[in-house]
Amino acid sequence: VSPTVVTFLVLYYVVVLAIGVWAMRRGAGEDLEGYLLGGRNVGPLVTALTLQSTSMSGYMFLGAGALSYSQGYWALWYAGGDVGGGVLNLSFIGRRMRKLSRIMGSLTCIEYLESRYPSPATRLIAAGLTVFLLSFYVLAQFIAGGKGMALVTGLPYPVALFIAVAIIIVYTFLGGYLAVAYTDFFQSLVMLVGVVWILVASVAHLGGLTRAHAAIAAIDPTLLSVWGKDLGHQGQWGIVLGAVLVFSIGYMGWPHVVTRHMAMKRPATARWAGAWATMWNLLFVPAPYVVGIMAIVILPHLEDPELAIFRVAQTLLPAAATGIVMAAIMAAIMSTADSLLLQTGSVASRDLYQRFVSPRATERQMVLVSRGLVLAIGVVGYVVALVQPPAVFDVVIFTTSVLGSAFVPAFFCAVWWRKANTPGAIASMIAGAVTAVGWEWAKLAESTTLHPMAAGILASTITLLAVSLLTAKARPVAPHILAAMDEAAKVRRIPRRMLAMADFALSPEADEIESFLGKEQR
Amino acid sequence: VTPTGALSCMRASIDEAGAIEIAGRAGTSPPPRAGRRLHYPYYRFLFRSTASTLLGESTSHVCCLVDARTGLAATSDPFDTVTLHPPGEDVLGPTLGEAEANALARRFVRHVIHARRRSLATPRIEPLDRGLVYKPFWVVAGGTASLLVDGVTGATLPLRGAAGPTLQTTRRS
Repeated sequence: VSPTVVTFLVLYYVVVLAIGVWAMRRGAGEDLEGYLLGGRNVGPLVTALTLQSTSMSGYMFLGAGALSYSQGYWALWYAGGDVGGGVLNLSFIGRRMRKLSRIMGSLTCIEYLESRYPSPATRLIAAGLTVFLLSFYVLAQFIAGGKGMALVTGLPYPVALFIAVAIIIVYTFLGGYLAVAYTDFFQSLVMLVGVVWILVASVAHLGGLTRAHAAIAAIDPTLLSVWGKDLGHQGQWGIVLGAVLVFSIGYMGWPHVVTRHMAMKRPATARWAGAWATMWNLLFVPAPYVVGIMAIVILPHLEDPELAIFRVAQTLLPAAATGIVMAAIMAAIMSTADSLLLQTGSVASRDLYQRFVSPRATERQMVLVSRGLVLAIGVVGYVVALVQPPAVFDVVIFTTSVLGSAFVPAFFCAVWWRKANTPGAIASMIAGAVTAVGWEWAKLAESTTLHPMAAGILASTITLLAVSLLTAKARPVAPHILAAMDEAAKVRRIPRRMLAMADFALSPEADEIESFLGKEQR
Repeated sequence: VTPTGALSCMRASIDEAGAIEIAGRAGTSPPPRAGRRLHYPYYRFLFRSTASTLLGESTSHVCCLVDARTGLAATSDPFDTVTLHPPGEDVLGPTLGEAEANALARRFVRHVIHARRRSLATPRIEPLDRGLVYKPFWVVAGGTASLLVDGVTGATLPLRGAAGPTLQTTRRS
């Protein structure tokens, strides 16, 4: 253990804490907190990078590196989907969903699903799946945090894991200062600097990409192909499709990602935020995969491929830089884990406990439910991560595949298909989740050459279409929902020159004023 | 019901000349010469939010505006008000009751605080002030399209149905 590495890691946390203290002190004098709560955006750059630091988890440093270390350039199929996923997500459901959720008065995505597909079963299934799967995803962050902490501090894994889980839980319980937008922004910059630094160092160490490729070819030329080690996935387009889909449209099934569409206020901010996020993604996303590939040559006999990026950092970088890279990794883990735990706690307390168990529950009771669940996830997660820790990559891919399979058709058809009805959506969520889980459980990907994500999406889409059409007469979509969908689909006719200045946040007032003027004329 | 008499209004920062200039910049052709000022109703609620955080107790004030015609809620920055006596025909009346608006505001503010604080802790929310306020909007007629100009922020949005000639009949100079 290098004291310099630990010092820089501690320094990183001191800076994060200092940002929080600065913001709170400034908040006391200038009501910065009121400013942040006042509906103001912190600007497209901060918005974008804040979202990125939450989206990019420990997977990027452990799972991505491990995949490319063992499968070579095949791993870039996953990276490709990840780079373009956000834009795809925003383009297909972003604007319409924002409008529809506003018309229906939904504040969370589970409320939105229940408003669009009215039935208590919609909420029960959507909330149940969310709580279960996000808890699973948190497990991956615990394992990543434990492994990282063990490597940095030299502590035994059980102790390091306990410390990592405890830090994440305490942070989630007691966090909540509004400067989180600024600390996330800082964390995302650290993540970017850390990963780019290690990428440059590893490529330079091998004398450039051409020499690195020659060295990899000497070890195993199939690692340079896009079909994986020993060309194991050659011609398996169903597997390739799934790999691309996982992080492209798979994100559409993430409740906390989809919620962001509902929160967007100004399209201009969203456009710029999208541009910044894409630029950040282009720099950040491929880097851990490429470092994993370089690690094949730098550290050819790694026992645990998930530690590839950590080990490369330790081997190539000066101690201070290693500390920064470690800080970047812990930043990715912390910012994702606390978001996921918060989302899970909220869904459990509001969408399940208050809705189905105790409708008159007080805020205090709901906080107790949230905290109890978070604590339970912490304890169970610690035990699982200790006794039989699954690979971070496997957990993340499994969770994303099931969430995407369950929710993507329901979210997509909610705004694009008028015939999508409640039985169709409920059946689709169940079919998607069951298929993706079953596919993984029975290891059908190998025999069918179809990725669980592709199989799940196919099943949930076909189910939604078939059940909606079969039950169209018995359970037609309510007229007020159709009217809301029509309104959400309307594109205001705006002369091209005016478009750049238009503020769509004024749409509700504009509609009312037009109606007022129209009545006056009559 | 159209309110008459003295109204509490947000202080406008855009006057008629400013609204016309904004419409001109937006490219209405021929350039507009006059606009009509309308007053749009919102319920304003001011809350004090107190939360325990990792860094100690954090208190902040949150202002929430609820559109008194559509029920849509949004948090807002503090703003000044002035008392005005606009003609009744230039005032849009509220269609939502204050009690309903209050419930919507509380729900929305809780949601915003939860989302932005990213914490399991529930902040205490106490009401400090509330009332009906009106926001000025300018409707400016252009040759090809009419423009709605926010009288406080200067934000614009073309009106869908009210093309130039239509607006000519409604505008006042």
